[in-house]
Amino acid sequence: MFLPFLTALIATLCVWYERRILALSFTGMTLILLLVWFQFHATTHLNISL
Amino acid sequence: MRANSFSLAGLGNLLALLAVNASLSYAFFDQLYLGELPCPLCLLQRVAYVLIGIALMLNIRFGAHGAHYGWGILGAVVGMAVSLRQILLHVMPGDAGFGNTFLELHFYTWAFVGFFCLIAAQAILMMLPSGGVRNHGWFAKALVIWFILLVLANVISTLLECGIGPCADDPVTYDGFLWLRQRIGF
Repeated sequence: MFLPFLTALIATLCVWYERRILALSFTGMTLILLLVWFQFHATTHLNISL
Repeated sequence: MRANSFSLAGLGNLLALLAVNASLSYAFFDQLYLGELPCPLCLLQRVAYVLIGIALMLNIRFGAHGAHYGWGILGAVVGMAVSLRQILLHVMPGDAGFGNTFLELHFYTWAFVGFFCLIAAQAILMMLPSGGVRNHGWFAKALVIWFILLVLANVISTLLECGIGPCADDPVTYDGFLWLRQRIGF
């Protein structure tokens, strides 16, 4: 579950060093990872289906 | 537009990032001082707050842009879904809920309120004139550095708590740290 935080950290560092497009890409990856983990947790981990 | 000139949208972005930083910092206070480890859904809500923070940080560093607000609103919508799910998991009468409370509400309920307010705030900020949002002043830099340090702390904390896989449903120990200690043998 650390991966979305890691991509978010890379995104923040890209923002700091003024790499806007790279930052937006890593922000998108973070959102996708968040959705994947939410889906995984909701359907598999607790055996409850969305 | 000259950098650091006053604008309502600029002030709003700074205050919203301050609110995100304060929420994430309080979560760490609860984790480190009160000893309550975050559950998997709690961690996902933290990620959503971080997404909103990145959107605000993009505005502060590069100037207001629809794409920045868009990512922030998407992060808040997913965060609302996660926190609402956790509310519904504990909504039955007699269920004590998960974890500590703050002003008589559980953290996930506050998170839901926070996401709702941040969506509304970003919608209002989008309607304001976008000039003067770009800010490289000392206060903006301090907020941004504080935010980056919080994200770094979350990476380390989540690795120590969960390792590289999913977290325990009701975590009581830093499993990732224990795994690492066994592997390295210290």
